[in-house]
Amino acid sequence: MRSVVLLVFAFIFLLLPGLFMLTISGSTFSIALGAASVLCVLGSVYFASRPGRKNPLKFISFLFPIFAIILSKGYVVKYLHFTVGIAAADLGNLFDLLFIAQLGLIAMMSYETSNAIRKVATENGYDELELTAETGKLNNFSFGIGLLGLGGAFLIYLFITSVPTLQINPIFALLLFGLVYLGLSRFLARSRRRGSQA
Amino acid sequence: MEKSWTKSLLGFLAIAASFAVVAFLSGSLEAALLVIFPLLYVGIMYILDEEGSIQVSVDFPTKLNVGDEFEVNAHVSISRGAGIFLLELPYFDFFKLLDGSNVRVVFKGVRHRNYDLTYKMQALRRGSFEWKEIKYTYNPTMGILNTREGKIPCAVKVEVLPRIEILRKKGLRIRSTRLNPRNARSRIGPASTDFDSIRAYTPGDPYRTINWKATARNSSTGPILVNQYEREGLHSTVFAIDNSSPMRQGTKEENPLESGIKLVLSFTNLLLNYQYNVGVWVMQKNRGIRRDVIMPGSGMEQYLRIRRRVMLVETIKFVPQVYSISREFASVARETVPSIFLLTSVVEANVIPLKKVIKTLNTASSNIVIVDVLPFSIFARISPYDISALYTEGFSRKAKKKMYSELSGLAEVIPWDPGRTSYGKIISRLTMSLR
Repeated sequence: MRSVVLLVFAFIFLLLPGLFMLTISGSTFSIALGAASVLCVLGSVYFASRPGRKNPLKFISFLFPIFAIILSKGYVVKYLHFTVGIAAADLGNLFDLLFIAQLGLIAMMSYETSNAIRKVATENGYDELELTAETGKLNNFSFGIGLLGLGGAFLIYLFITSVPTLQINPIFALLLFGLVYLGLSRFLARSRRRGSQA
Repeated sequence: MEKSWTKSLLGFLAIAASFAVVAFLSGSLEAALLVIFPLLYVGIMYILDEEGSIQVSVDFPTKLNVGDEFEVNAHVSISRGAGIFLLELPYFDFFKLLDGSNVRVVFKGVRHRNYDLTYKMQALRRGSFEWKEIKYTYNPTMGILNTREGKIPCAVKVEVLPRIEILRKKGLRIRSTRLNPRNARSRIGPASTDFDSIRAYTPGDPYRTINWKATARNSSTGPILVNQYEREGLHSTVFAIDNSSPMRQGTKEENPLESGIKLVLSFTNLLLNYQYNVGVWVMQKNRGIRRDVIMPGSGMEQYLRIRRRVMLVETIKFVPQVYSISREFASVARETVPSIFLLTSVVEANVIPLKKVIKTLNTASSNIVIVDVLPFSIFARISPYDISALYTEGFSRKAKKKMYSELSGLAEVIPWDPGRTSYGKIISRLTMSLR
C-alpha cells in the first residue's frame, strides 16, 4: 500500500468522530468539541506530511470526543448537573466511530514511520523504487496488524459482554484483562527470545 | 538490548488509559472496546518486536585491475525482528556504481526472510581497500519502538592493480639511437647461457668456463682463456617517480601520477622480458613506508616487487618542493650506473629543484630522461566544454618550452600526454633513449 493511500485512510478514519459530533443534535459545546477534533485532525495531517516533526495532534484529536462522552453520561453529568447534550444512541455510534478512528491512528503512525524512513533513506542515496516497494510492504504489514488487532479486540469485547455467568463488574473485568494480558505478553516475549537464543 | 518505549507508544497507551477513564466515569461498556484495541495492538507489536537478527555474506572479488567491472552478490538472512532494515553494503572510494546500489532497503515481516542483493561496480584507481563491517539500521514496524543501529563484521579485502599495457616483443624492438658502448653493465645478476666473449682467466673464474680449445689454439705459453657469458639483466634502468603535488593535477583517479605508474609498470614488464635490470625510486617518501628504492633486478619476481611498491605511491603536499636523493638510492646509482627515466610533471616551481637533483644524478647515471606527463587531456575530459582550457594549454605549452630549455643541457625531456599519445608509442619512443 502506498503511503499516500495510508494517509488518506488515516485522515478519513480520524475525521469521523469529529464530523459525527458536528452533525448530531447536541449543544453548541458539543459542536465546538467536534470542530476542535476536526481541526486537530487537519493539523495532524499537515504535520504528518513533514517528516521529522513531532505530531501530538493526532492523539489530542481524541480528547475532544472523550470530553464530550464524559460530559454526556455518567458520574460527571450526575454531580455537575451539566451536559453537552449528546443523546445515548448517538454516544453508541460515537464509540463505534472512535473504534474506527483508532485504526486511523495506527494508519497515521505507520505513515509517519514510512515517511521518516523515506526521508533518512533518500538523503543517503537509497533507491527510490526499492524504497517505495519496501515501505509499501511495511504499510501493508502494520495496517494488517491493525486490522488483526481490531478484529481481536472486537472478539474479546464480544466475549466479555456475552458471558453472563461471570457476573463481574466491567471495570474489574477490564483491569483483570489488562493484568493477564501484560503478564502473557511478557511471558511470550521472553520465551520467544529464549527460544531464538537456543 | 533494552527495549525502550517511545513517545508514540506512550501516546497510544495514553489513549487506552483515557478510554478506561471514560469507561469508569461514564459507565459505558462500549469504552472497553476502545481500551482493548490499543492494548492488543501494542501487545502484538511488543511480541513481534525483537532485536533484529541479521546475517550478511558478501561475495566480492579479491583482485581486480583498474577499469574492471564486476558484480557484488550479497546474501542477507534476517531471522528475527519485524520492520525495515537499511543496509550499507561494501563500497570504496575510487569505485563507481554502475548498476544498483550498495545501500539497500529490505522489509521483514513475521517470517524468516532471505534476500539476494546484487550491484555492479567499476574500479577506478589502484590501491588496496578493506571493508570491515556492514552497517545496518533497524526500524521496527510502526516506530512504536526505537530505531536501532548495528554492525555485522565482514572482511572484504580487494586489491586493485594498475592495468598495464602488454607490449609484444615482436611488435616493439628495443633499439637505442645512442652510439655509446654497452658499458653500463650491471655487476649484479647471475650469468646466463648466452655467450658474450673470450677473455683471459682471472682467479675466481669457475673452471667449467675455461675454453680448452681456444687456450690450446692460443699458444702453449699464453694465458688460459675462459668463456664469458652475458649476465642476466645486463643493463640497469631505474624509474624515478616524482610523487610531489604537480603529479596530482586532475582528479583522484586520473592524474599524471596514475598515468606515470601505468607507464612504469608497462615499460618495466617489457624491459624485464628483455632481461634488463629494472628498479624504482619513489622520489618523495610517503608516510609509513620506509623503502623508497627497489634495487634494480630482473625476472618476474622483480616485476611483482615493483608493482607492490608502486601500489603504495601517493602524492605528497607541494610545499616545500624538495627532491633529496636518499643514501640508499645514491649507492644503487653508483653501483649500477643506470639509465634513469624520471617521471614528473614539469611546472615552474619544480624546475630549479629538478635541475639540482639531475646535476647530482648525472655523476652516477649513464643517462637521464625526463618524461613530462602533461595533464591537458585529463583537463579536457574533466570539463569538455571549458574553452578557456585551450588558452591555458597554449599558455602552458609556451611556458613549458622555456622550462625544457632550462633542463635540456642536463637531461633529455620527452613530453607525454597520456590522452593523446598511446602507451605503446611513448614506450617505443623511450626505448630509443635506453642504454
